[in-house]
Amino acid sequence: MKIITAVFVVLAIGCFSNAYGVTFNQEVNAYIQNLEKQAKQQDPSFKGFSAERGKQIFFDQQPHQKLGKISCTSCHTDDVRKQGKNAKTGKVIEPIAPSANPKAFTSVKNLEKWLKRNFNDVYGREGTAKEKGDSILYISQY
Amino acid sequence: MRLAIILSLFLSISISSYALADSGKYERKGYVPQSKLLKPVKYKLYLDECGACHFAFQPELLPARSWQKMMNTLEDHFGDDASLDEESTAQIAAFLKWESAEQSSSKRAQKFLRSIRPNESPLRITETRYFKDKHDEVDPSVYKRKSIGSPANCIACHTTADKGNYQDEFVKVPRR
Repeated sequence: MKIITAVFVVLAIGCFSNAYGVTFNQEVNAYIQNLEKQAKQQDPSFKGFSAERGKQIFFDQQPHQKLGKISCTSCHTDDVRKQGKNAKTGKVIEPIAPSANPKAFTSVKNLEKWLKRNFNDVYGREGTAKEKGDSILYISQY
Repeated sequence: MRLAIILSLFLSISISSYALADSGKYERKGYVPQSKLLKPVKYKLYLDECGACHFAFQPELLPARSWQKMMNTLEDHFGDDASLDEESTAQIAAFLKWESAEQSSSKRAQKFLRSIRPNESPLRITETRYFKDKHDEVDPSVYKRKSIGSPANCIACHTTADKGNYQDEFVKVPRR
């Protein structure tokens, strides 16, 4: 009986912990599983996402025409729990860490939009499935 | 009863004509005629998506052809990728088209429109003749102040820009 109740509670909240110990909703979990599948297809030696690689992606500086240098931290600061600021317009950006922003990592549409845009802005190309998963893992652990 | 209505009508007419006769005094009281205002943006999708990165400019500030060009080039939006899913792009494009300068009854919007050559589709509001004329006394260094950043940050100085009010009396240029 207790087990059934527990299952119901989990279902009701719609949250499932994945292999990485980070809790997302069902939609985002499915998205990450799909990224995993893609990463395996692209690289058979792929053994799962890494927050450490994600951190590198987040901090790595790239040359930028207008700003000189750019990295994810240019707008999001080096602490994902803090409010950021658009490096060009100055507009405030809400924290992207789930602990500081309950809306973070709750919508796949939003997640895909920003991953595409921001990889293009910083790296001049879209991220691979592996890079996307690594970044998500790094940010969402906070 | 009828007398009361006539009396109050008469009274209100005489008050408003007094106000008109002394408009200088009343203008400073904060009332701005509708014709001088732009429509405050209330469209949530536009505020959420475009307003996430920059001030949500009133669509009346540019002609429809400019907005069309803008929405077709979101992947390279002044050097940034601002691309959206197809549905959101189409919805925002429609909003911008139907609320553009051509559709506006605002005198200010019409001045913007008239200052743009018919064969031009500027993407930057700040590059229009009208904008430049209105800001010709502003030293370029002012825009570089930390709290302003660029001339595109309307609301940094036009404190009521989000309400569509760009009247001089509501301008406050930050010192830093």
